[in-house]
Amino acid sequence: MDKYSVIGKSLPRVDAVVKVTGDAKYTADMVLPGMLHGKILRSPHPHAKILNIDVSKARSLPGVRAVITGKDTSGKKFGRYQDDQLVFVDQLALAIDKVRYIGDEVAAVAAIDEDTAEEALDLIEVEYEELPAVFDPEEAMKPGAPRIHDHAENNVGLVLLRHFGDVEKGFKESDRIFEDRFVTQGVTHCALEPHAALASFDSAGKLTVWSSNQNPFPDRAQLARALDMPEGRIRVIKPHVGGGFGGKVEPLSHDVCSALLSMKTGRPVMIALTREEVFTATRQRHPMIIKLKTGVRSDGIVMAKECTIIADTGAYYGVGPNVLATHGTILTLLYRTPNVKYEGKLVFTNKQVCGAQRGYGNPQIRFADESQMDMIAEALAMDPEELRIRNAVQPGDITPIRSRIMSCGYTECLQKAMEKTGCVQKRGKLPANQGIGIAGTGMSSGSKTYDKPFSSGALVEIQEDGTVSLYTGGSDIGQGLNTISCQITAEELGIAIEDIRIVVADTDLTPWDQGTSSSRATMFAGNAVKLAATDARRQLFDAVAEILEASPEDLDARDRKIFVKGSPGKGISFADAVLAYRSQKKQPLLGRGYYDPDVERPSPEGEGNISPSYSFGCDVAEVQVDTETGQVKVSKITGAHDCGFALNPMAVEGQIEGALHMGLGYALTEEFFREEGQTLNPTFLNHRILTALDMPEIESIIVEPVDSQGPFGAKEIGEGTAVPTAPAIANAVYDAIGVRIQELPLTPEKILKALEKKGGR
Amino acid sequence: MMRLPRFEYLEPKDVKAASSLLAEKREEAAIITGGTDILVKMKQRVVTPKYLVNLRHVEEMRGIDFDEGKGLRIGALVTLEDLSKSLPVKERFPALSQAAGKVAGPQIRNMGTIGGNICLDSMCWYYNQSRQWWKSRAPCLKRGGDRCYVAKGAKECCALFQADTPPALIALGAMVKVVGPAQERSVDLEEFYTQKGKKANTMEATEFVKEIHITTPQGGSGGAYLKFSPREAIDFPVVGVAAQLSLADGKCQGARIVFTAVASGPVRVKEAEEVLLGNAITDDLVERAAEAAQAKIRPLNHMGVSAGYKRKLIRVLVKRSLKQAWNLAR
Repeated sequence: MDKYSVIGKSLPRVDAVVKVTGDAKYTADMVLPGMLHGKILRSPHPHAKILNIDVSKARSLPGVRAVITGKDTSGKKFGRYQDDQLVFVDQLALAIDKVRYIGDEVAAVAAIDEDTAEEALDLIEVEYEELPAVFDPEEAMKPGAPRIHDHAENNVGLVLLRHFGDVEKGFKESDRIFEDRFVTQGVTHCALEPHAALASFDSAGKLTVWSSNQNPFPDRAQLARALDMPEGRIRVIKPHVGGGFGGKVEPLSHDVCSALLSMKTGRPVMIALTREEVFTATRQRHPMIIKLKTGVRSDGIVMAKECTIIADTGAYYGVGPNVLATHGTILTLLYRTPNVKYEGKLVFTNKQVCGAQRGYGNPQIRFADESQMDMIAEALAMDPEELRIRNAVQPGDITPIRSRIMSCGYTECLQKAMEKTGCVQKRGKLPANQGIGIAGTGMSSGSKTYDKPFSSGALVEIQEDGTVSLYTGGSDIGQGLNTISCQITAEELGIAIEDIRIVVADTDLTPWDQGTSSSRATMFAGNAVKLAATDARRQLFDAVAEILEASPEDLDARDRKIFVKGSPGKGISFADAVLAYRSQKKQPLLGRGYYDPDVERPSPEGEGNISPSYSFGCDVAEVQVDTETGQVKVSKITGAHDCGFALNPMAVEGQIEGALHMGLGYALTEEFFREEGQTLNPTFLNHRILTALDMPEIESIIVEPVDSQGPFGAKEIGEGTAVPTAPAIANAVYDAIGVRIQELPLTPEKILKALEKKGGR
Repeated sequence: MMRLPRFEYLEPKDVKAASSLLAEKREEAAIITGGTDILVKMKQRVVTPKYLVNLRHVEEMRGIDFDEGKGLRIGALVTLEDLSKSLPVKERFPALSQAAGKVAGPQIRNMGTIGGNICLDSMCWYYNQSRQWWKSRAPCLKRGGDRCYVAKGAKECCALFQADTPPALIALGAMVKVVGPAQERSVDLEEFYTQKGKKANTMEATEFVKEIHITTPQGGSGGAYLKFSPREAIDFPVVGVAAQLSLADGKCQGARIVFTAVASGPVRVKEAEEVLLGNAITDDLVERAAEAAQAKIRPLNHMGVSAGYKRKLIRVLVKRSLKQAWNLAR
């Protein structure tokens, strides 16, 4: 008999049927009686003072119910920071005196339908005084550049300096030193569901917001801040969400404006963003300029790393300061590096704001570091795999920034990928213009950046028919959290997954949860669910122990039966056990779970173990380069990823495949083109995520070093997984044609140019 | 989601009814067949027709007919998917089959028609943006302004023509039947285009394409359409080229090389064709033809791609398409 009956199985997702039939309702599908439609007027200028706004014509348009500007807001700023970081809280729902990028929110309208709302936007008269603008982060830092925020001299919003160990000493002890510059581009998440919010403010002063978001509880706190009202009067509900990838970790202006418009009109107000708004006025991944200096001994052992980063955050902070703060972890997580120094600069430009996107700085830095690892290996005449294995972190390590490495399958991932692909044997020996390349990744399972509890809660109520209601604050945004939460509960209680109803992510109904960000959902929400189910099971075992003439510790539950361990025949049905509990205790059978692990917000010096555990992995890419056009075709990617224990192997494979898709687009084709701060490609036509035809063959290798912290040993999968694809491809391209591209994406034009340079043509 | 503007929907059932409707509504009307292009432009408010005339139910504009002697007739309503999969088209007009099969993706090919594809206007990453987007800049020439953003300083609109099937059709010498209020006229597709960014084709507002005719290529002939784009689907070409060759007695009797996505219309490069005509084709000759094409064409700027790189692509694509055509012809 298998050790487990529900977990570890490739079960279909619990919401599969309603999703494939279209029954699942996303925020923009919802309709409430009397609902109005809202639209947002955005700045057409990259940088301008607002001199006057006249909304009288818009207000008098028939069908318009409300028009609001910055004057109608609380004037309170919002942003995902706690009270000792208020300097980073710089967003207004609607601009008051100044706009800082094309897309900045200026006014909002609620009307009886979308057409009327849109017509009303045209009737709002805004008088601007255009200001000089700056779009390039290096230009923005020069003296005399236009100043975007009063508080940020030279447009530098933050300088983070971190030093662990002694890099000078480390470089002295090194035999070789490598210094390289890497550049990454702006891309966006491309979640299929555009952002939307529906707000309803009732006559008793209660506000309910349905929003396509990743973090309903933190969003509630931000809404309270922006609306200047107590959190307790706000209810945030996360309906089905069609993808987030970090793009929905922060509440945005439309969330606040839908609430303000509902308060003003007394009617529910829906604001659903267009794709163009999502692509130009929500969030994107930080473009970065990375200088990386690494010192190694001749045996390949890394002695020191020094990294300078210029991160272009766009017009506001967004989560930029936190993205910079995680770089200490990223730089030290994968390879033992005794001496590390880095300087991160967050620079304002008059462009779309940057934020979290699948990796949180990791894709950029790993592109640099994993490319450079291959450059080092070549210089040392060593296999890149060998160089990585020699330096790989191991279970039990404590890194210079105090990350505690629990389970760690990095070496095993590298070895399995090597065995499966034969990359060591193939490198340099493939037919002309074909190449193979490897790159690694590491990722936290949740990363604590605040003092507040970084926790998750869950409740399990066992009802009298033997079925279970699971209440979890965790946010399934398409990744399958609901499914694994049900699997964990069913396993723990010894019942079937069909016996569970799941109630999720509703701040009035479910326990607190920090949300789905920093790859915390499986570790945190999963652990909370498991604790709640364990608590319910314990109560049930206590109630039936006497009936079964055994002590509670000797009982087990499986296949809807509770029985004495080792004697499955001797037991009672789960439903009868519930009845027994009821008649004895005369109480609802409620299990409680709360997971708040011993992790640390980084100290001012940047030290701290931010996560209960970390995941690792690598990709091996096989490519063919057309040397006449420069086009790269990726024929195969093998992804070996360590997820602790695979609660649902099919879901893990789905995460690996989806992550590869995002990584491939980042490597090859995705990129925002802008002119004077204006996005030229705010469409799926020209922001080129790859199509089914572009996808290579994928082989997923799941590596399972069962983790002591995770629920049944599970940990992060899917975020770090998107990280190594780009450097693996860049390394494969180098193997194929001997040119190294240090600027993403690897466009045919860049490759051809590099080939010509190499050939002296 | 972006909203459609208001319009009145009209659905003529035959060519005559369609023609008289268009004669009556003139510039206020726009034609829809597949809707994959016009509806996007309407949502963006690039065009806001008062009337949308759907020709989808005009029976006379349907169907593909092939006869060795009479050649190929393609009704304007034939979908790009059906055209690409048609057996006679695949066998005898491979360049056209390939071009139709490379338009966008399967969903768009199932809706989009050949008539719509040849009437596709240039696709400009400035002009073809939403009304909201255009609030950030002064209007371009095509929007009635005084400047072109594609080619700074240009006095004329330099929007890029990027339709896939026209180069293949021109390489095959296709004729289109254009229906107007008074008469039907037959136009050589090569003459159908204005080469102006502002409006790609020469049709009046009252006219529409009914069908396409192509004479059967001579015995030893072959053709190919090659499209270079960042992805295998969805994208418009960065450069597209159709090559059509016919051989007799080992020598090149006919050659056509036609580009898309290099200028404001499809571009036939006779200088490159002349290199081939009358000669026995060799690798070296193909290379010279490719160089002639590269020397002749000064491609327009392209979002994210330099004109210099496009010139390199031109050479490579001519070489490759000619080799494919040559392989089929001999």
